[in-house]
Amino acid sequence: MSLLGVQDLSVSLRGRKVLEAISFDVARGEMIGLIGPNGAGKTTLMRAILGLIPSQGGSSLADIPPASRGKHAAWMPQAREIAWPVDVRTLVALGRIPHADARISAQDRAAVDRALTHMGLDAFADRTATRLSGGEQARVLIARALAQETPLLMADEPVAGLDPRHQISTMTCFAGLARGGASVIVSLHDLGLAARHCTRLLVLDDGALVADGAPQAVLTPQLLRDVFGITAWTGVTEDGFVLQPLAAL
Amino acid sequence: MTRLTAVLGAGVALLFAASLLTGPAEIGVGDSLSALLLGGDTPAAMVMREIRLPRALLALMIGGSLGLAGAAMQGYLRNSLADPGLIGVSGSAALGAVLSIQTGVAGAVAFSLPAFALGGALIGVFAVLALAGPRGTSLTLILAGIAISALAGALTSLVLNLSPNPFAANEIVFWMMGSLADRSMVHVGIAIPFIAIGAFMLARLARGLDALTLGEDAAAAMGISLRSLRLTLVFGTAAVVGASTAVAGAIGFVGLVVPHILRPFVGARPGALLWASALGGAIMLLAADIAVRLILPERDLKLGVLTAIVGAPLFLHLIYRTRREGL
Repeated sequence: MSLLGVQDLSVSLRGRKVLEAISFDVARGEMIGLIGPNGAGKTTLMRAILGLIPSQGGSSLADIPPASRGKHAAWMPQAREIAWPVDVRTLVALGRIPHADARISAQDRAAVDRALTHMGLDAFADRTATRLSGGEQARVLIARALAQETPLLMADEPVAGLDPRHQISTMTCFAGLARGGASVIVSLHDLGLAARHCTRLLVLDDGALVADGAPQAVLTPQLLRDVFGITAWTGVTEDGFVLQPLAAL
Repeated sequence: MTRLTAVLGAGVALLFAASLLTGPAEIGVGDSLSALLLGGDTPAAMVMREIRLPRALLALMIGGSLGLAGAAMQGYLRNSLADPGLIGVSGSAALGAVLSIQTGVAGAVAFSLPAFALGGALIGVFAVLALAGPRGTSLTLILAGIAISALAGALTSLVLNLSPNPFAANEIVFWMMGSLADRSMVHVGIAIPFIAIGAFMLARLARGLDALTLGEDAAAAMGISLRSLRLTLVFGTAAVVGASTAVAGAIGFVGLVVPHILRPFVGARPGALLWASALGGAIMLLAADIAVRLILPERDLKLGVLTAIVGAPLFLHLIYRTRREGL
């Protein structure tokens, strides 16, 4: 079953075409990495899919009435905003807003506990979110998106600024969600992580979708040179497909 | 949380009773209450029902309004330095009132002053929305509010500047200081519908304000309509602040200080802060209105002057504390 359908999605901002006729489908259980150089349109594509900015063409998510979109997709913006010094549990519980009509139910509480455990935040539950380090805040915000328990999770550079251990555990967590039947779309710059943890990569370059497929098929020397301007070592090891960027061209 | 509500509620009830029992007419506690409840033609009943009851009711309503609107405004702008006057409503309401005093309409037609002030607030709120647009960011709302406040302030100064009548000018200056003295039940009746509707609108913002903790984009993706949130906030604030200014003049610092003080007690949740702040605002204004009657009973100390004298140092202390925590 398709979770998300995107057809001929185009976005113009201030008279400039930022995205040009993007089409793809997302099935259940996919771990999709959205990659591309700075300014390629990754954030714009995700916001257009969510219906947060006006676009031409279709996104099955943007067609859902805004009030119930939050039950279908969770969105973690790149700006890690925590405006008030609330405790971690309260912040994560904000992810239940699309579900809760009035009071927080036992079901909501269970979802919050699961999300906290998923991100290894049980010990942090009563700490003030704004007093945590940047990386810890990022994990709290990922937990917030997890607590929403939606079939689709979209995150804009969720691993930027995390230490290696938490970069890997976050990607593993997302991959685990995908194996459980949800789908995840993450934008990221680390091609090594993308190659290793994603089941599928979408490559954006200058507002166009230039490649779509399994990491090993997509990350060819030619694409790395043309789109990213780098050379890289790639190989299939006993741990799977591995990519290590080498030099800028 | 519920304990906080109970404590604040008890504080409001206590101060409301104290406000009813405070005044130059020396009436005993028992006599006051029986006169209030039983009525009759006695002077005590007149004092209680026509002078003290409206005064206490207005302090309760206006204090609650300013606290609620302040909490909503700070939650929306995600800034603890925001004040309900920020969107220019109090400034434009004051301009309307000043015009009615200056032109003499206020003296000639009963209750035209609050009517003019409400008209001013209405024009102000539409001017702000026309400038900021219904779907812009919070920054455009702040800028539009500052522009309208500045314009209303300048026009108020112009009226004072060109006033040929020193008595009118004097009256304007005193009116602008804010007071609850000599208000009647008619003032309560004028303010109550606007305050009830505005408070209802603002109270419904809790969920959206909580979501905004994560920023505008995340809130929108969770199904919060930022457009309707913004319109509800602006019209709700305009209704409660416009009505408050219309009957009591400009009373500052309540909407700024009260949410700031109470925020740690509700775990900083902007939605929970709304009602706590409404109760806290009522407490602050009831206490201040009792204080102006006790400190200088024969000099008519103005309420707005007292809230500013108490509020400004309190606010400086809060800023100092915030600065130390930031290090």
